[in-house]
Amino acid sequence: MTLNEVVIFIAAVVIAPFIGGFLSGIDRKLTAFIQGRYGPPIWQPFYDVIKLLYKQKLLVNDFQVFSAYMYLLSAILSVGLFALKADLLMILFIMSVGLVFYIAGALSTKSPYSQVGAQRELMQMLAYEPMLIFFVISVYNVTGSFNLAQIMTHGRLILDLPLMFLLLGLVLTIKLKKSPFDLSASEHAHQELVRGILTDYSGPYLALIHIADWYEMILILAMIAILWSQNLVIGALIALATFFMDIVIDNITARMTVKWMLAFSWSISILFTIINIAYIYFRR
Amino acid sequence: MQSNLLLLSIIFPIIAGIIVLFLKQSSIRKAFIATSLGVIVLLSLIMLATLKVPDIFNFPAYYNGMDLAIKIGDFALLFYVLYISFKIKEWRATFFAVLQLVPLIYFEFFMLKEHEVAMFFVDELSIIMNLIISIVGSLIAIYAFGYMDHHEEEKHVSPTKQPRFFAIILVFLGAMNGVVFSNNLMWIYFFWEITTLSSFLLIGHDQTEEAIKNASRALWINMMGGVALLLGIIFIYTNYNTTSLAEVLSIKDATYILLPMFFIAFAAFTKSAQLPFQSWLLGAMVAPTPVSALLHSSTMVKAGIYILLRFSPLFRGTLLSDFIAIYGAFTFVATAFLAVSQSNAKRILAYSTVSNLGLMIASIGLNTSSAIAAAILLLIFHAVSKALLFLCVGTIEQHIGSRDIEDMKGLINRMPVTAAITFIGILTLMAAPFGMLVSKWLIIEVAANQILISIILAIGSALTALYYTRWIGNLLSGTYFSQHSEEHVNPTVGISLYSLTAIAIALSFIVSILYNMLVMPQILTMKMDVVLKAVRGYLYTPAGGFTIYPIFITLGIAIVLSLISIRKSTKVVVKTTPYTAGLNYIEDNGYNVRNYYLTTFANEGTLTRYFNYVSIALIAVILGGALI
Amino acid sequence: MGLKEFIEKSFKKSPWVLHYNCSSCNGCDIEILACMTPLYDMERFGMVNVGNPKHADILVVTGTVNTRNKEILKNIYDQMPDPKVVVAVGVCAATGGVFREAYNVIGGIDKVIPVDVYVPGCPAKPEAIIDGLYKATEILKEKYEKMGKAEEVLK
Repeated sequence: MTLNEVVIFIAAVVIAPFIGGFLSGIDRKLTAFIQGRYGPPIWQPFYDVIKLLYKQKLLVNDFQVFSAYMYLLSAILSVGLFALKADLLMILFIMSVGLVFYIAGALSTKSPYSQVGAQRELMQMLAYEPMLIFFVISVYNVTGSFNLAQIMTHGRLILDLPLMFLLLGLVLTIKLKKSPFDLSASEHAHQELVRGILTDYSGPYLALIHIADWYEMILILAMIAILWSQNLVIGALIALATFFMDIVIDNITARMTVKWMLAFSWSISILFTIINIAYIYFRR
Repeated sequence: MQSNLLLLSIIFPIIAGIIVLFLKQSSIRKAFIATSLGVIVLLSLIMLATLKVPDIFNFPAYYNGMDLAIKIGDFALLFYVLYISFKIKEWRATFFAVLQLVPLIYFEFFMLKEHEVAMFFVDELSIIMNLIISIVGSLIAIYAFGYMDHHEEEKHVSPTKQPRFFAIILVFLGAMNGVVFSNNLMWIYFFWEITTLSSFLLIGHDQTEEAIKNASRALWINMMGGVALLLGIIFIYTNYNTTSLAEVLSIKDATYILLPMFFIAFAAFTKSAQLPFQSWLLGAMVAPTPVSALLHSSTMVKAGIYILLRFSPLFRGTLLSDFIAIYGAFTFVATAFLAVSQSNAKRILAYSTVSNLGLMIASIGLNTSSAIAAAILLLIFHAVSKALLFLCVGTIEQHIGSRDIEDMKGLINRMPVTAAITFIGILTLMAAPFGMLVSKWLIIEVAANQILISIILAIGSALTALYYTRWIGNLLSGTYFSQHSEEHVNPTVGISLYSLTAIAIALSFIVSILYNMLVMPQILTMKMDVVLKAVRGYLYTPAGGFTIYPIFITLGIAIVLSLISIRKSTKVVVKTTPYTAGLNYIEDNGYNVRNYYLTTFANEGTLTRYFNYVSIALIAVILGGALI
Repeated sequence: MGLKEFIEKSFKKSPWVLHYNCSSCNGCDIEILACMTPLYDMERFGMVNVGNPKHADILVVTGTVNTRNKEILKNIYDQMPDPKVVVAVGVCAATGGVFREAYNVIGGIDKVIPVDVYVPGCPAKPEAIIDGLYKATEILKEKYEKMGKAEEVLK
């Protein structure tokens, strides 16, 4: 690693949570707007996280601490490696390591709410993990590489991968636990599972998980952005548009069941992948 | 000197096994077995250090004797199988034994012209297999000391049947070395059949009704594989007039090779328990756990992978190879589905073994240099981690009397050592930065331009993560108020668990050295260009790269941070109960939630039936690929 | 603004509210839910209704405590991490109200857990509840400052 790379890595890791927090602030404001409310200040997510960080530590078992740290650190590592333009598939695998610990940590507490939430999160993982790999494979079929450095020389991938772009939007919805896929943590006022997978994470450790969620959100938005790597400003705008679309979808849909989610996401993703790759070969 | 070593590594375990049969006194027997295992490990390490591979080794003085012994052995073995099949009334085994006997007589007496072939053909792949067999095999056998004592106590076995058990294990180790070192195809066939027989004897070791039933199933399915192997060898001989592996591998004109390759692949599928033959491996789980670990996850089922890898250069770039890849990928995802529906830990492990073997077969079918490298890496990492997990499940079962993962809730408090080791074992199987995941990464990247296979692999790896993650969750569940108890680990059990854990982590840590030392030379031996390179934990191809040390560092930082966090906060931290809607929390009440097993999606019975149909169709397609 | 001030401000700006109905007649509960509607919108103060004591900062209790739910109220209060504030909404929560002489009623919730803010009314008006919650955020901040000092003493 050269000095330059270290600087990029640190810069990405430092900036990403600020953008992530800011975006989730916008999310809350926009949701309030759609619901005809005034809404919280735009910096609300930062207040929340800072407050949580300085609350008392309330633990059920020691493993929780480790899983929260592991989730955060692997998210940080994957964002950092993304900034260094490393292998896209490796980044996904690193992201999923953190997720495994996050889920195992929730399963390890004996609260029924947390366990059901964790099981549902597993199902969500089952729904979007293949999609992300499909995305990477399709990118490979266009660019012939998994290395971001080489992928990003390809300018306007979105023209080759229109359906994969839609899939990424779907992944973003599931990953952010937005309705109709807010199964595992019951966002907003739907609290039949209390807080699902997050139930027994509390105080500083909940804050760590919130920060990690921001990192992962940024990671997926960045994956959308590289679809227009010719000019990353346009790429970022596309990513933002997808994000806003997800907020709208969140507000206009009701929650669906786990089974529906699996059937929907698998059939859509396999279909889209095959059509899209056929389209790539057709375009050549 | 070196052929002596090779010969010794085959003969020594067999002789030691026969001697064990006559050692009645427990302590003497154990000392003798331990010494023999030490010798076996030593032999394999010496071979690793001294053998110049790839090469052919011959030892003319012993050739005729060995060849004659093996010929007689072939017939003795088949007649013994006939005798057994009459005794247990398993007519399918009789059928396949006769089906082997007839061609064998014809082949040996009427077709085969006397010619001497070199005794041993050794390359890096053989060395890798030998290392796995010797080191993992010995550790499992050591584990069996403690395990079998407990097992016999539990089942009230008297007089002890341990001499027979360890004798078969040792003979098996010798036979496996025979399979991986032999150059004469007929010798490979003989050792292959010995492994089948020892599998049969060990599955039926407890002599319960179920054990005998499952053992006989394993016998007839593997005898069927034996028929295919024999036919393959005969076809090779009729077309190319040789039974020497080295000569077969250097065949220039590959016109007639595909049909025998199909038969050999078929034999590999049965040995590796691919769909639709997976039932024998699942049935084999009635055997004592060391048997499951040794034969049915780390070594014997790898013989199928070995033979397929061995012949893979011969069908490179053919339709047959592509179809094998699809078939392997299908097995990978189908058995992963079946594993999701299971709560029995041993069945989960059995299905995931079949699944991973399918992944290896898929990557052999892809047959590019990186794919072969991935298959070999998978072979190594899978052998160690899966053996470790089987041993953990065996230990757990002897303590809690159940192998259901629902009953393993809170095991970290009841059996802290074993649960922690199981946790690490599962991590090495499913999570980055450990070797299995690196190999999986490599396979997905290699398969990326084969869209069907890569879609299947993506789904399969998500399913794998699913069934392992919830197991981890179950193992580690518990609160500060759970009842904690000390665990007394039997010393021999402890030795093998600790060393296998250490090996599993260390191998992942030195993956680049491992690759450069053993796997890359093998790729060169198979006359392929090396695409995958490895430098200091960074594995890269022109298309991408995987770096492991940052992830290890992340793991380390997470451990340190959480230790600091827990220690620093001991004063201010509040140890609380899980949230149960304000009700008083009582440990061990009905709050536990069962895992989702998706039984509506993945019903084992119906799915198995459909998967079997599809896989039979796929095998027919592979045959078609061989004939075209 | 230094980090210390920002943290204190965060405690004031981000109170997560847990609402527990302690055998109330639902009158006050409806008014609490009314606080979340677009008309009153308590989220503009950063207040979020959470269902989990482990995430909550402010415990809002309605209704009287009786012998049956005393334990539950206590458990929920114990599962909240410090600093935490309790707001008793309505007359019943404050004193037991008209039910105070009933055979099973213990009285106001301050018989079981310490209460910081009392919001009067039967039922309490949404404006009053929001006012009470806002007072509670100030107490929350003060409690955080005290907690910091307590930790220093412990060290």
